[in-house]
Amino acid sequence: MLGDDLDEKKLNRMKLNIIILERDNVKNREKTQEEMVESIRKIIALELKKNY
Amino acid sequence: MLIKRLLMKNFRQFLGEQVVVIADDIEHNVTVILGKNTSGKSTLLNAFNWCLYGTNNFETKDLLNSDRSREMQSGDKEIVLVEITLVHSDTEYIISRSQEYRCDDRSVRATPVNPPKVSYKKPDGQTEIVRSAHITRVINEILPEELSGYFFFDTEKIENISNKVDVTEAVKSLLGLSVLYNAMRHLKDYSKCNVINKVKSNMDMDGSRNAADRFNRIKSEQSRRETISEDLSNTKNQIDYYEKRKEHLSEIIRDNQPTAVLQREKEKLETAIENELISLNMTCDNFVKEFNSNSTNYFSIPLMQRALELLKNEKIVDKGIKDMTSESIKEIIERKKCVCGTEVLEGNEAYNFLIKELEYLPPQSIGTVIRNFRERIYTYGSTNKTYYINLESRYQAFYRSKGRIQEWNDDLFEISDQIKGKENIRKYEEELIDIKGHLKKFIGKKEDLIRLDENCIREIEKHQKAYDSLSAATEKNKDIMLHVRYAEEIYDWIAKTYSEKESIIREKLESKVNEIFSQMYHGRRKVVIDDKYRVALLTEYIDEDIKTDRSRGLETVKNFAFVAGLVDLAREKITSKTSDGDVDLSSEPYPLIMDAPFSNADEGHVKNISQILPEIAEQIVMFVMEKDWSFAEPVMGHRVGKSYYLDKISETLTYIKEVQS
Repeated sequence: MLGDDLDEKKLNRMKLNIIILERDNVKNREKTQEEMVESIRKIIALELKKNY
Repeated sequence: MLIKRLLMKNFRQFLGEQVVVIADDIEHNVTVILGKNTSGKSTLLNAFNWCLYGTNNFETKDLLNSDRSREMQSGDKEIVLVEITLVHSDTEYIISRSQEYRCDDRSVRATPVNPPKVSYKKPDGQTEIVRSAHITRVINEILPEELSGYFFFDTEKIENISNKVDVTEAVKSLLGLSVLYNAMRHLKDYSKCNVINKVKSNMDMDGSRNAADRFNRIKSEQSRRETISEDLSNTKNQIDYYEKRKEHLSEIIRDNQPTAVLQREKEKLETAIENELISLNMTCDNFVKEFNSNSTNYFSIPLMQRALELLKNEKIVDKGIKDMTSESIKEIIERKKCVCGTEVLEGNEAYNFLIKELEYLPPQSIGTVIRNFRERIYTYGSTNKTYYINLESRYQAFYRSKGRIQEWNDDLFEISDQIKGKENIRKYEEELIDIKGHLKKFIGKKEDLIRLDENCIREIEKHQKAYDSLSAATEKNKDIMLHVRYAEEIYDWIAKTYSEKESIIREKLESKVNEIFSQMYHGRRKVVIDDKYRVALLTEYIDEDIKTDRSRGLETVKNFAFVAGLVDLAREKITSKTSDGDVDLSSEPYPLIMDAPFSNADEGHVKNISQILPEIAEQIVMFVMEKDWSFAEPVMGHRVGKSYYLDKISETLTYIKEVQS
């Protein structure tokens, strides 16, 4: 159950992008832990700024 | 991961550069390497383990080919190298490990083994070298070391899979769960740096030292929880280990209960014999002491009795003072004064009396001596009576003791015979007591840690509440809090998905392993997999499943089934559903590289295994003896893509030769 202030569409895009990012990094190991944390943070921030 | 090529240079008996190209065609996915005993089959398996993980199980340390080593001159250098080319996640990797050997005046010496080198081909064809800090991680991602024993399968040496250490994480990684696991760590679980903490750290804390303080306390409690969690996990592993050991020991003790009783009886007898021997020695010592002190008296009894007999008939004047001697009287006369003070002067009454007394004393008269002699004989008589009684009782005690020792020794011999070659149960009983102590300690520790963790959670909740109300004050903070809420929502969703998938995957694995097992083994047995991915065999017996004894052949079939199940499941497509689409989390196809795979299995099982394995595993590499291959070839032969034989020239030299089909 989502709260009123959370947009389900945005949330799902965030989930998808994070999983794709993690899957790719499991394969290529290009990013360190810190870089991954920053990339995930950016995915959420970017999605928050978008207006659908 | 599929292997393309193995290259060895001067590695043990493989002199110079020798290459095995591995079949990777889907229809012909079997590579067979035939070889006699000691031709180097196990060395090939070791080459894989050494290259990837730096491990091997050679008895001798040197890896350099002995022939090459002998040829080296002072100042020469030589390299031992193993290089594996493989494909993982559509990327071709080259992994190599080497060691340099140097010859000095005295001998050939090994330098430390070099760290492995890993490179891979990028989609544009460029070769990229993996940074040294990432190498171990990359190798373990390709094939976790904990699972290498299953995929590099040494049938003759493999331990029972059910006794293996916890392979949970490794299995999860193989089955594609590491994507979700990593996401959870990045979002929240990784205490040093995670998304939620990072976003929160951007909060506007001006004028709100209290909020900053709360935030730091949350972080510190989270970090404490992580330490507790690690400690708890170690403690649980310890408990798990000791529980298993306890169960195993109890089983041994239970199975050997009659032996245990006999062993206890044996120990009791040994102690009794030891004590009896001490008592026997004491009795013996006392006997000798008694004999040495009084024997002369005792043995002279007949002589003394004869003397008494003789003296009885003699008329003996016995008027002398008892124990008085003529020397004493002569001295009184010389002193001229008696001990009573009376003057003794020649001719006076006292003097005359003393002179008269001399007549009753030796040498003039032996009457007093005889009287003294008689009295002494009577005294000896009574001493001799107790002497004999004592001696006799010691003698009887000595023989009673000897009898007991003999009897106990007979019993001991009989018991020893009965328990000969059986387990020393006392050793296990002592270990069991020890283990129970450890278990008690670790269970106590676990409970303490759980309490500590609960305290941390309460603290975090308390600080979080205060922090939320303090930090929501500004607009910027409101945005940040929204960001955090999204991150937490995503984390909860991933954690839920992870938990659901984990349980589904374990069930699927168990069902797959059973499916494969039933094709290989036709009997009333089934395989169960616990939450730590340990495998056990149960026998279906009437209405219940019970653990039963297993043969090594059956263990081999079970291990094959587990590995085949794992390989098969790893190939399956695992997806994570979001409303915006499915994400493929699938891991990889995996090869099975096996040394002496059929050595414990009978002809029927060899055929069953040979039928199933090439269907399930993407790639099979086998090092086999020709006699074992003769059973497998009719079933598996049509799947062979590459075939080699090991041409053993000497104990130190083997060439790998390809057999053209």
